[in-house]
Amino acid sequence: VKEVAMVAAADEEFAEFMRARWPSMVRLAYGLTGDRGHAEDVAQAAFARAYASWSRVQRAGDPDAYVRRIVINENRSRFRKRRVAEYFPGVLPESAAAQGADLSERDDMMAALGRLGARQRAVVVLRYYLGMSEAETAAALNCSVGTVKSQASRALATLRALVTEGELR
Amino acid sequence: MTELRDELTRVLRAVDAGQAPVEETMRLGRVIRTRRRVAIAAGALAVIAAVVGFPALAHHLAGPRVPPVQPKDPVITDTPPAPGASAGTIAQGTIGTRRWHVGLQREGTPPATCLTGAVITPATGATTDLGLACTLPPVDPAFPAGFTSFATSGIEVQLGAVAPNVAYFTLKFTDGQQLKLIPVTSLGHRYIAFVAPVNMPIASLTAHMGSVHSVSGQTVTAIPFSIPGRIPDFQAWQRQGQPLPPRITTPIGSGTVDGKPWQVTAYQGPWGICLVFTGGGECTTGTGAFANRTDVQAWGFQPFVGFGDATADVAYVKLTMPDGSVLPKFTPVKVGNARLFPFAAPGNRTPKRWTAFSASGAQLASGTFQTP
Repeated sequence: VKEVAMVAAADEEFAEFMRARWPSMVRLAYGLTGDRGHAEDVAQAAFARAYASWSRVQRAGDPDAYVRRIVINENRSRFRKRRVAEYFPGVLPESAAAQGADLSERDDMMAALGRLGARQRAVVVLRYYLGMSEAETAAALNCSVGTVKSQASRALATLRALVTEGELR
Repeated sequence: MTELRDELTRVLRAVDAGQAPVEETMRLGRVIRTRRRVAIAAGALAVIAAVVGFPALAHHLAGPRVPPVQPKDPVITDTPPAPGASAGTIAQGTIGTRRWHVGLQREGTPPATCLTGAVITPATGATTDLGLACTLPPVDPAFPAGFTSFATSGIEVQLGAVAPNVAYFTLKFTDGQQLKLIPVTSLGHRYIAFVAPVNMPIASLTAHMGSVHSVSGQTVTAIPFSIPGRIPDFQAWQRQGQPLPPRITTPIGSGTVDGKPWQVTAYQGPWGICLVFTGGGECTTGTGAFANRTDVQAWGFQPFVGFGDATADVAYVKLTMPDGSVLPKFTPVKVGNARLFPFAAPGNRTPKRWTAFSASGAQLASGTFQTP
């Protein structure tokens, strides 16, 4: 009975954590994937992995960082295993808020990000959205700091060129 | 720079993530946990067999070389939904005297596509719920089908999203049984599904190319790395007449950690490269290359044994534990097109960092471990 109670308490704790962090993880995943459907899928897969190891996640002391790391890994593994695309039958519902006046600007920004390679996009999102340092970004993406610098430089040059040339308008 | 940061923040914060799918995620998490336990059991079995000197058992666990007759296997059937089957049903059939059915339905808010199904024992009425997954199979135009799979109560469920240019599949078990899997359209896409005991090895899955109405005569076949207790992956597909890659079994590392022996064995073959090690296993796709790597990396880490791969210029890798201690160096071993370095870490702990060195001792790269 004690064990069952502990499991129930852990489940409730996880549920609370997930409800609180779901929006931020979906946004991060959206920045990485550029696709709302993939973003929700990556975020859900990350939370599912966190739930599967919930006691270890709790022990790690920083569940946010842990899940964020899994989101980044999930996005990387989509490409690594060549199981890149996932099929979503039907049209994923967009909320009313997402259909507002910001949609055009959001599309532009995401279209610009979409012109970048997966790693460059990840570097941009981690560095300029999450505000990670070069070293933290390198650790998160499992590459060298030099790679982060060069990828960020190329990504910014590409974004700058896109904006300057007005290609996205 | 600040502008980009502000713009990104503004754009991403405008994304309405909707309601968190907590229940479905927890259900998916339980599936992952179950799969890990199955993988751990299989990996441990393989290592125990190798360590205590039962090469025949270790050989058996390599799956594709399993002797082709296992009369104890139940008879499996698999058919498209019969008239009167519930909406969304993709396939139904029998496992011996038990009946099974698998389908898809939309659940929750926002709606997710979830597997439904059950295995029913008519004599007792006992039912095993197969509705344990709410993610769809992956689809890649390069593959005839992408699969979502899991195991529960000793039963393996495979749901495949079928490419448009496939007419049907034939699934062969190593005991000689053969199933014809006919794609069925559900929720706007074509799927196949089959259900079998986890300990019943699969010899091959062949896709007969064509369309819903015709067969072109061309086939591609996946030979999975299939061992009892481990769900097979159908990732590497061979064209008709294409010479099959040789099957090579290579122990690539062994030792003792915390007083316990560990061993990692690489199985190369038509399935790609699969590693079986204490605590689990990992496979990669067909060509044998652990692709898209520009650097030394490690992944697939399970409690106390893991592995990584390294680029050609890496002579050895050192691993740093969370307490700052450094493990003795690990040397990559060439397996197919990959260079792999298996390792074991004490205290059931994941190393914190890896550092790769050249033959002259120059540091080439370093990074932190990715978990889980």
